[in-house]
Amino acid sequence: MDFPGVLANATSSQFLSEMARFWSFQDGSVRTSAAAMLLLGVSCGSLGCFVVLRRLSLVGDSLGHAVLPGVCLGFMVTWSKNPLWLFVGATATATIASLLIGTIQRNTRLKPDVAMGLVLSGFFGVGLMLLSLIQNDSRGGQGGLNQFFFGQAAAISANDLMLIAGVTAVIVAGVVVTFKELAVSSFDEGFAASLGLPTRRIHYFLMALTGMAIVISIQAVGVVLLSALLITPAATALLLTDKLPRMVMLSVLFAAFAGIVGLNVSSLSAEVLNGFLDVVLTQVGRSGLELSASRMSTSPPTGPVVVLILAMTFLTALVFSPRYGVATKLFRRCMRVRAARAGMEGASE
Amino acid sequence: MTNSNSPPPCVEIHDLTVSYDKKPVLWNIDVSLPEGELIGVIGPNGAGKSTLIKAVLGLIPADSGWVRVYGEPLARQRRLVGYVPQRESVDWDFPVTVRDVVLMGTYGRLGLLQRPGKTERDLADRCLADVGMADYRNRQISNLSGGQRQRVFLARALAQQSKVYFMDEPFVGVDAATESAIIALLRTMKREGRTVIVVHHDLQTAPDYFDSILMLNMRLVAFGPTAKVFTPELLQKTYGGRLTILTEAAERVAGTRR
Amino acid sequence: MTSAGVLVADVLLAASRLLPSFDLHEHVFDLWRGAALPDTIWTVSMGGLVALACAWLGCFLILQGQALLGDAISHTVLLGIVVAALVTGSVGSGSLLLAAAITGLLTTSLIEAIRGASRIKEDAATGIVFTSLFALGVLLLSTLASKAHLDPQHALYGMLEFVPSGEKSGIFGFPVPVSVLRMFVLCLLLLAGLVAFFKQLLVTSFDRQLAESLGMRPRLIRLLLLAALSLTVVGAFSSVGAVLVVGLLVAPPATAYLMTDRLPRMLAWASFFGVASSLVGYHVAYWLEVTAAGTMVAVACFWFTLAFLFAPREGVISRLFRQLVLRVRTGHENIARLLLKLGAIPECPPVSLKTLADSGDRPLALVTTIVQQLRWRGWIERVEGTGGGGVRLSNRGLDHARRLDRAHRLWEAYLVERVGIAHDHVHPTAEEIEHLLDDQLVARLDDALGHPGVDPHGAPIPRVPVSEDRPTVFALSRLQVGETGRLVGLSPSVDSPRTEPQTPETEAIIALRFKLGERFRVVQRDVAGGTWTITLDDGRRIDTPHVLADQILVDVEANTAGAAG
Repeated sequence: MDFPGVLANATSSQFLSEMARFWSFQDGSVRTSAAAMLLLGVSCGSLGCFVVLRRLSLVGDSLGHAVLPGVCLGFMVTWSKNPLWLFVGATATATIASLLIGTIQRNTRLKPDVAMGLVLSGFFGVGLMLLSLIQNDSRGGQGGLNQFFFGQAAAISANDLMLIAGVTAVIVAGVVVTFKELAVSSFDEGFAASLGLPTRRIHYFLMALTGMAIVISIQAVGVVLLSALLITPAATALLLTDKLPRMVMLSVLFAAFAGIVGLNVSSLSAEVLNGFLDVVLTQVGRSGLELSASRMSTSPPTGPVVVLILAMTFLTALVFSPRYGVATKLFRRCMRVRAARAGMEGASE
Repeated sequence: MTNSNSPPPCVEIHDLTVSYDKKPVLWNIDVSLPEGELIGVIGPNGAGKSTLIKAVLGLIPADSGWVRVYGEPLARQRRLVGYVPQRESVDWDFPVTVRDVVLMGTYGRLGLLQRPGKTERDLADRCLADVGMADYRNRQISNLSGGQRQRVFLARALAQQSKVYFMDEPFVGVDAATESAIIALLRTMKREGRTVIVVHHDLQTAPDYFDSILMLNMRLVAFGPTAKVFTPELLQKTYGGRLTILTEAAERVAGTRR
Repeated sequence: MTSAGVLVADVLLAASRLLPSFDLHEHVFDLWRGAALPDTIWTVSMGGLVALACAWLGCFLILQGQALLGDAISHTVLLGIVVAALVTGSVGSGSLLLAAAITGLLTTSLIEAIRGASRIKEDAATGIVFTSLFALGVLLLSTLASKAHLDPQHALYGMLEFVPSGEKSGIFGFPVPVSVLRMFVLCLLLLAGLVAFFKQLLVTSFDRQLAESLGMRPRLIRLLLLAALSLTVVGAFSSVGAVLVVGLLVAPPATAYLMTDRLPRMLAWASFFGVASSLVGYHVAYWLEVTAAGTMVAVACFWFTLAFLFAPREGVISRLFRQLVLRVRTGHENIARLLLKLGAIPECPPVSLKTLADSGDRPLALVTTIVQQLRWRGWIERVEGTGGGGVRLSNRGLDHARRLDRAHRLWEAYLVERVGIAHDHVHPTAEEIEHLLDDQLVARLDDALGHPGVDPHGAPIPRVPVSEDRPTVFALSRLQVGETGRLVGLSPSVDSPRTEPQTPETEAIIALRFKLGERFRVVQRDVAGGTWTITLDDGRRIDTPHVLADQILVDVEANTAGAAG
């Protein structure tokens, strides 16, 4: 598995230097993006636990898509990617979207997933229309709004980071202060209400925090795959622990880990990644593939890379979790069978 | 009904009409529940038993009427009221241990940011011991049997240290040992002067378990001491024939609200 | 607040400046003639065919609570297409079939595997699977961009505009884009499947257990549905993209769901909204010079908004309007009943508006308005007299007021006698219910209670005549003990739910025992036993069963002074 060893020397040294550049955190922009990924891990990782436990996974997905028109409108205020206006626009449409979901659910017999699917696609459709309007305009053509589909963490600016830090502080404070209330109302809403807790308000509070977390994450992971940053780390953590506080910690850890490693991978240059691809493909032995075609022209967007890393951690936990892993269970069953057999043999002797 | 010098009844329900999904399902319930008794709520499926409990606890809004607990509106008496919801209403895969669940019973007394401390943990352990679950306190709740889950819920209610308890079908799907343990516990609670209102579905055991019985079928059919109301006539009235005109009128009311 | 308003206005203004002016000829008609025609036809029909297929499948998805699966599959299809292109080295029909198979099977089996092997719930499992597979697809695609003729952004919002310029194949010497052809065949297949399995689909969608018990194999049906979904998504993918497939799967069926609650009509409405989205979306997109697929979905959601507000039964505005109508009617009826209570009936002294307002505790202005409206409806007549005169019920108004009063008092009687509610608690409910009970339900109430003469408070319940032209004719069962009357006939259909046909026997009994025009007196009403006993003038005593008493018509003219109320 010693890939760097088989890489062409030139690529290998480039790989090492790029890795060193990233992990030394000497470069200001690397520091900024890495800090942002860490903060996003904290926000999305912690809130994701409650989103998963309350079975609201689709909410993250719909709100994630619903911010696109807001981002476009925010862009149109100054015709530049001013973080504040983008934030205002995204927050506005996310709020409208969540209110609409609630309105549709209250006023029709449609199931929640249908209401969310409607809002998701409707907002995204309008967002795409606005995006083409912007791209048709001479001022918007080079706006780089396309990054918001799949994210480009490297483009996070110092101003963006300030905003992310501020919002994360609000989210952390919110979760810490209401942790007990969030926990009991997520587990048993009826009981929480019988204690006199305002369960509806707690729900909206959680939704508002989640909306904020989504809005600050779009630059880094993009609107399309945003829900994974909420769901996957939390689900991974759920496989590993039986305690809610520990689940939140683990979830934050996984989200931040995937964020930073994903940033690292997507910051590698196209040559290095192509070098890797060549190695992988020759090892796999698919000579039928035209290797010349498997070339990246640019570094990949951050979102998909982060999501894949998250998926890999999830898969690992699913198989090897000490308590609930598939392999662990199989292993235990084997042990039991063997012990039983041994016991029977012992008895027959 | 009560004259001025007698204490207010433990729970007073006045002219309570409740809708579920905009359709009236309980009509003008009017009853005063005496203190210190085990009270069974019986009636056929869809009679509104759970709805009554939820409306009394303020979990679903009432169309009209009011509820008082010891003479005061419920909002001021939350600490006096404990609740045991139906077991199926929660996700037992939730990442909490048995003791965490029981500790939730103390949350009503804790403010924002306040975490349960040693006092609360000791209380939770005592409550778990009372239901015979002390050994399970660090277990994750998904590993429990139906009867054990019910005991955990009861322990959580005990940790609320309330005076009046509402329990929604605590005897459904539990083993015989748990059933007798629960009824023993209920009797102890009664001896301590607490009032327990239990939604019950088993007519065989109802007269043995309860001091008073409340018979419900969209409306209050009867309430009184078990010996007095647990009669074939009243049972027939509760379980026999549906009030079709009432149901149709309810549909029409719902139709104008939708 | 003002600055926020200014800002919103600014942004909207900026947006509106981006909008070109709309010209019916340039943006609509011109597209349907000359050189633009083929482009228009192929684009609109591709959009329409995709929308049709999605609408049909979407109806079943949302009825079965599987909308999330549509979301998942429309994302994972990207991976399917990329992998298929990788394996077969082409993007032809065979490769697309493979892509559909990979997509459907991979997505559902992974979701099931995660749910089965862990305590992750369906929503989270779905979210994890589709984001991961989509991410993998996007990354693979960026390494294969030159090969697959796709880029990640097209995977999201498609390129409906490129349909006409795509590869064509000749049908009867007429070049048709292959993608349209493919989608057309798929729609035909879907339609055939829909017709063949309609019953099974219907039952599985509404009641899975029933389907199972009928031996309809709901699992197989679901599998077929999944296969159809995968194929449709694959066929639609390159033209409308992932997120927009979700929109077409969800929006037209959800709109149709608000329009009807019958499945065949729902399918028809969904098809209509789907095709309309394609047609309107295309023109709007052409006008604004924006993405056609995105516009199509936005238009589909616009239909939903319209239905959400104005659908005849479910629409928010329609419901508000119905409630308003009910409120107005309630106001009218309450005033009419109040006039009845105050004795302002025909031939009697009128009451002034002031008295009316005071005794009903309503503002005078409101009472004046309602009275005006009631005069238009002919319920109220104005009587000039000393002191400004006043108003009273007309004959028509009296009739309505009596019916209401009757409904009110019967409902109270029902609550007290049958429901067992204390008589001092029944009034508020009756005030609401009296406006909701129709004649048929009132008749059933009356019948169930044995046609009582007085309500729980002791007030008489007004009778409603059976025969409108002779207001003193009632069914015998309505008469109270001591009342006298004259037998005038037999009604085949009294307003009672007992619809036993009039057998020759009943006729014979009646013919034998009494004649038309005979006078009688009610001497006993045994409501529980269902027997009405009357004595005729010649002293004969007759026991009439409840059913018969409902059918015998009597005229109480001139004998009712005391008892009829």
